[in-house]
Amino acid sequence: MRRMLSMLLLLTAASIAVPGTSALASAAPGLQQQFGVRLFDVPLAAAHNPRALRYIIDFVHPGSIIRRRILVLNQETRRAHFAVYPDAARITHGMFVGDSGATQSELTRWTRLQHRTLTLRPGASILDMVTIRVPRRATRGEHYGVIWVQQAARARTAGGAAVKEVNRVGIRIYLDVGRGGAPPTRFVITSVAGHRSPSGQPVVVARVQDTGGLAVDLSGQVRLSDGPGGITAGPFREQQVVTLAPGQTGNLVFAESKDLPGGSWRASVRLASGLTTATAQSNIQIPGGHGASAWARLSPLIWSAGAVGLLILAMIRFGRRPRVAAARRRSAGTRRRLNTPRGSHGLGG
Amino acid sequence: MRRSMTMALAAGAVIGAAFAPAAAFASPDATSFHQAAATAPSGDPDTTLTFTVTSGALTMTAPGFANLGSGTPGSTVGAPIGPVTVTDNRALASASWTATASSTDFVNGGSTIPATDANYDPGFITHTGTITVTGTDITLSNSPQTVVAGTAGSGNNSASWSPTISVAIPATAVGGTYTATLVQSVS
Repeated sequence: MRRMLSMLLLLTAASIAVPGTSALASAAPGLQQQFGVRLFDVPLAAAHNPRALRYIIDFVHPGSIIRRRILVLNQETRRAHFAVYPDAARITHGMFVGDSGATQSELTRWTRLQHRTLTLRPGASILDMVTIRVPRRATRGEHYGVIWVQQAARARTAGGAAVKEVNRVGIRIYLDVGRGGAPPTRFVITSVAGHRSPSGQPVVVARVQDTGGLAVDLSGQVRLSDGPGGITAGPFREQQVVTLAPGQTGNLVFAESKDLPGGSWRASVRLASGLTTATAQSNIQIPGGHGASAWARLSPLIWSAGAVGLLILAMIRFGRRPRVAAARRRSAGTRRRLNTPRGSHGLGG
Repeated sequence: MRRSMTMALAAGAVIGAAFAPAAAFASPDATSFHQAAATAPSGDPDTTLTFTVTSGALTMTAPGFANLGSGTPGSTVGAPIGPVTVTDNRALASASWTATASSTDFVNGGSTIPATDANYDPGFITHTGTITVTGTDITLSNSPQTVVAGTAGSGNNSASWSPTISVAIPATAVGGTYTATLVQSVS
């Protein structure tokens, strides 16, 4: 016997208004012909995990059932038809990629949509229910998929070559199946290196390995210090989010300002996937480039300016040396070193 | 026996507040429902308490039909297929999304031009809000590849591009109208 207890707390009997709709219409009148989707229900246990607010992320035992509602929106000025379906997905080359058609997988065979086709009036939105019934004999491990909301253009007659567009907006699924508790979310930064691209762009590359039992969506930043002349730079954000399945390794690339001088730097990298973070510090070399040559031209000037400045400072502070020495003692010893990955357990990532 | 407990909160009153970037997961409502979870029946692993996200959605431009023009075998035809806009109104503190493109082969009755003879160039990308967008010019295939990635975002953001599709018509191609289905996806 299966009993389903649904507790609906309607605090205010408001219709499902979508904040994005009005903002979009007023801000960009030329961009109204849009459609989309968002996750409507998030487990309370994952309320503070930013990944759980956008994707269906869960750890379940075989034989479990998950239900999540999604909201499909038609922000177009005409009636529109949508197909809603689960599709297989994979994590490859640091990316989460949903397949191009309704490709079958173990996960898609478990997944059902309450409404597989929808017709929505202009400006209308509707809730759809995603039900994932994980069979008792389900394969253990993480399963990936996407719930796509798809709209297809009407075919027209054409001469020569033509493309009929099919556009899709999706909600990713990261569903882990297993016994006991959820596997840990863990990743380590194995190396940090500096490069300069052929176009002269200095980049810092952090190599990362997913050492836990769940996929990670990695983003972060790098700060540079102890550069030529003691200068600091950053923080610089990642060029692209890198998604890694358990055991996979990938590179997070941080592009710096083109004016950054070459030389030796101390790089402090901080990465996060959901609630899990890892940090690493490393001395790196950024090869010389246009920035370095500009720096080389400037440096005699800066050194002379600095020397004059120091001389003036020394003259001003001559009578207050003990206080300066005390301040120096206080600032010592605050630097941290080496890889210090801090992996949290559960579905934190 | 399996129990599924869903708490649905159609909270019109908090929708306005959900515009703030941090509100999506720091709203007082989420906190108060967290308290409710503590009093929920325990010992049943299948009971899942949920709360309702009150932010906006991830949206994309409606699809169109684009004519790429005509050319002789051995020539290349191509044209912009119209603007594509991705709007991320999910109000996420760390916003990111990935747009991919794939194509079927170009079909003219029994003749085909493989998708790999076509190119997808996102061209210049404009954006609003805080987001770093990177476009990649790709040779199309039946498998999706990333064409535009949005990353390092904060709060609501959008990006627009006008992709150009060009097709190298094989020298051996049979004359006629070749049509392909281009799938553009964002998640």
